[in-house]
Amino acid sequence: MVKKDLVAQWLMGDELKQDQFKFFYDTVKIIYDCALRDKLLAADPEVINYVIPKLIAYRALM
Amino acid sequence: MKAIYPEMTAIHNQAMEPLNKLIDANVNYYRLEQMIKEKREVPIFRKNALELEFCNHFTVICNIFRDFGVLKDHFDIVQMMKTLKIEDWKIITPFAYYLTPLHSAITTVRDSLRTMHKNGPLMRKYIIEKNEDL
Repeated sequence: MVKKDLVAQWLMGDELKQDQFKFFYDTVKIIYDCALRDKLLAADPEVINYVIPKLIAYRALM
Repeated sequence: MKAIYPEMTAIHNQAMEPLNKLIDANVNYYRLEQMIKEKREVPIFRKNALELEFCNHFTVICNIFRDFGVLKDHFDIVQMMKTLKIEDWKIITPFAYYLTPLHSAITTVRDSLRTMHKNGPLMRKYIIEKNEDL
């Protein structure tokens, strides 16, 4: 129970974390729903290192 | 043993006191939750008070596990209960993914505590002879 709580607090401990977690999930879901799904699931470095950060930055500015 | 060894009985009662308090607090909080589920009118301060009491006694037990057991991770029971009150977490996919296991874990703990209450204090085992620190 305590170990599960640690993960929950790390991701959803306060309102800011909850908001950021939802935002990150929505961003990654965009990639998951497009043609890059296989690369995302395979943890392709290009997707992890470039696509996700750039998409997050772009969505944050929108 | 209780009739023959009053000194041992006193140690036993003292050792079991935090657990007994937690079991009672859990039952009180559970009964109030049932009243709320049945749509009976319950003052909000009563719910908050019983929840806080449950959290405090749970923290005492966790402190014992930390000081004398193998629980080394940080814990904050009040914060954990607060996290489980996030609105609509069951229908928000990322929240549900991480909070469902936590909810199941605490439900299991609380069900076990209620079973211990149902079985009565005589079924709560604490083998003093195995406690070498005494």
